[in-house]
Order: sequence, then C-alpha cells, then structure tokens
Amino acid sequence: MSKPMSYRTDRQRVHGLGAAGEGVEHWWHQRLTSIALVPLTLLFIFPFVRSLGAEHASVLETYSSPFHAVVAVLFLLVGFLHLQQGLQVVIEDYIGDRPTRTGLVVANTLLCWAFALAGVFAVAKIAFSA
Amino acid sequence: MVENHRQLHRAGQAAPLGLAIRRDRVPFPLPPIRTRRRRRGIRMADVNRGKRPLSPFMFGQVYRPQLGSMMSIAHRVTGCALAGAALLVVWWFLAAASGADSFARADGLLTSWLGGLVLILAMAALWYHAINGIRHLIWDTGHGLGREESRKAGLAVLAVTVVATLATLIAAI
Repeated sequence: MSKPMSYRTDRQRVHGLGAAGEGVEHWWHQRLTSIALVPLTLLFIFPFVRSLGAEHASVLETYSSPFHAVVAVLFLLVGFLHLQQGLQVVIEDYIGDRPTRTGLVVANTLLCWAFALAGVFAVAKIAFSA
Repeated sequence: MVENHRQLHRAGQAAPLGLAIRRDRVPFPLPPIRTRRRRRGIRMADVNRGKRPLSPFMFGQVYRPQLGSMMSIAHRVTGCALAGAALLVVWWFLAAASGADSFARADGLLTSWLGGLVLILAMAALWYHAINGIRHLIWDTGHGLGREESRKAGLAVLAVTVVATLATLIAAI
C-alpha cells in the first residue's frame, strides 16, 4: 500500500532494495572509501614512517606543512570510516544474536568516529600551532 | 567417499564459490548423490534445512584450504588487525600534539623492539590489505574472475606486498 498522494507504485518503491531492504548503499560506500584510500595510503605512509623515531621538532615541522597535514587528516578520516564499514560487515557476518549485534554495531560506529576525530584534532593542533 | 566435481555439479550440489567439498568430512548427513529415486527424478526432502552449521564453522573440517580462500580470510584478518594499528597511530599523533615529553614516551614505545615488531607486522598487514583490496576492486568490475587469472593475481599481490613492506622498512630506517 503506497502512501497517500504518492504516484509511485509499490514495486517502484522497493526496486533495487534487495532482501535486506537496504540496497547496495553500504557496499557502494565501502568501495568509495577503498578507492580513496589507495592514493591516500601511498601519500601518508612514507612521511609517517620517516617521522617514527624522529625528533619531536622535525615531526612538528613535517605535519605543519599543509600538504602532509591534509593528507594525514584525509587518511585518518577516510581510513576510520572504511574501518567502521568493514568491522560492521564482520560483526554482521559472525554475530547472530540481535541485541549483541546491534550493540556492537553502535559501539563500533561511535568508537571509530571518536578515534577518527581525535586523530584529526591532533594533526590539526600540530598543523596550526607550529 | 570423495566425489568428483562433475558428479557434484550434475547432482546440483556443487559447492558455492568454487570451494571443494570433502563429502566424507561433512559433519552432517548429505543426501546421497546418485540413488535410484534420484535417477527417476524423485528428490529427497531437505531434512537438514536450517540445522546446518554455517560458513566459518565449516572451514578446515569440510573445505580444503586454497589460495583464494586463504587470501580472502587474510584480507578480513588484516583488516581487523589494522584497527589496532589505527589506534596506535592516533595515540602517536595525540602524543606528538601534547608535547615533547609525551611524544618521547609514545615514540619510544613504538620504536622499541616490541613496538617495532608490531609496526612491521602492521605495515605488512596494511600493504597486503591495500593491494589485495585493489584486486577486489578489479573483481568488482567483473574482470579477472577466472580461476587461473585470479590465482596468478593472488600470487602477484603476495609478491608486491613483500616488496612494498621492504620498501617501507627501508624508508623508515
């Protein structure tokens, strides 16, 4: 039964949504973040490993450069988003009990965003204060 | 009794995803493949429907380990392991933002013997997940799904992972 004033047919309303009623949105967003992470990983990882074990001052200098700071911010944001999406699929695959599954999905989402923003804050603080 | 694949296929019981099933290792009764009833076109009711153990449980006991399945599992395992590495990276950045003392503590721990080992493993996991992820993205376009080409691409992923991990190690030192 369609809503009042809707000209869309029932069939059209569920078109493309599949058995789970969600369509391919989650899958598609995971592809988007994985595509973005290919160049971001290449750009992030080498300055990062060179900064490991370096002097504090030189680390501050590296990440006060707009290029390295933006790359690090993007890598952390997109990386944690991808992590959140991937861990959610793993939880949904292996946890059958509904309350446990929902709880884990909620915790995963909140923690991933918390750590992503904490990382972004740290890089921003270095970038703006140095 | 281990049946061959063509027989399984004809009986409509070929395993999904090309995984080879060892019929003698299945921990629940499978309907017989060729019976007089089946030849006459009479199918047995699926008595085990809904009671079968699911995929992760089947592994090892029923499925034969293959490069494809192993690399698929490794993709998941490295993805989950990278959650831990991501926390270490955030911690390191927060320490660097907090000041020289906390940075010295975090950086010292991460570049210690144990921390270094963890980071090297994380680096290998990151490269494996990234490069195998590219293979997955190519599969998503519908290319490279053949048995032989996907096996070759899998070996290439492993080789590039080793090279990239070594390159990162050299860059780090």
